[in-house]
Amino acid sequence: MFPALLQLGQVAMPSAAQLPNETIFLVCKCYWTGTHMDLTDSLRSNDLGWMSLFKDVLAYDDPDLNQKLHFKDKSSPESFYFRTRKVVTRILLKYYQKHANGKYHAVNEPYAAEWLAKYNETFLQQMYAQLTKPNLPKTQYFMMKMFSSLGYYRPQLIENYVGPLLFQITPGFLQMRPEDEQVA
Amino acid sequence: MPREDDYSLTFTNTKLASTDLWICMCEIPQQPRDSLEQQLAPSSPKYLIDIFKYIVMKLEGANLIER
Repeated sequence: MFPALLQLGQVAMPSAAQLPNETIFLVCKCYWTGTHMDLTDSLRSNDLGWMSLFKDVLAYDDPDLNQKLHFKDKSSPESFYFRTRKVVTRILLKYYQKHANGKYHAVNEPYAAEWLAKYNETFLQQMYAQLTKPNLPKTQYFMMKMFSSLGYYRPQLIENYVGPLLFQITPGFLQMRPEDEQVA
Repeated sequence: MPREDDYSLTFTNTKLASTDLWICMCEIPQQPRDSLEQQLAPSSPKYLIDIFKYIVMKLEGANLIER
């Protein structure tokens, strides 16, 4: 099932000629549903395709759609744009917290070392960039949890991000804003 | 917008996650002191004060609106 899904996702990938659509959202959602409990050995050994797809989803940036965070129509391109990003972030958080985390279970350590060596820097750069852009609150939540998870698990891997996260990103989230006061 | 992204529902989670992240980053040994001091100037102290105020208020269980 997963190779066919991956092919579907690669075809449906948003681009200059194709707006974010339901297919890419559903492909990522299916991956999440199928893997959040555990990863199969074949997915572990052939993760390049999926990780490239997730990297492309996060890298896809549309300034027009970025302005439409408060969408009403769930079937609109902006809805799929933000929601696909949310699902991908959720998937990656699961990797950082579980699949690629030897602290979660020692048996995961060999794959964690391999996965982090191959993909960590790319995803960290993308996640950091995403924290400075408009995103759904849950997406931001997943990203911050991801950085925390890595910070507790392998702090040496995020040394370059400590300063910016400490002095630029988190203060923005911690400051009380007018909309916070309505719900606090 | 999906219900789970409703601002009123995600408010606490976002604040908790950012607090957790901030504490986690504080615990990670950082670059040499000079470089850290450079990062602190000029606007960072205000951020730090705001963060500590927020944490102190939370610890005291204060209602931020009433204050």
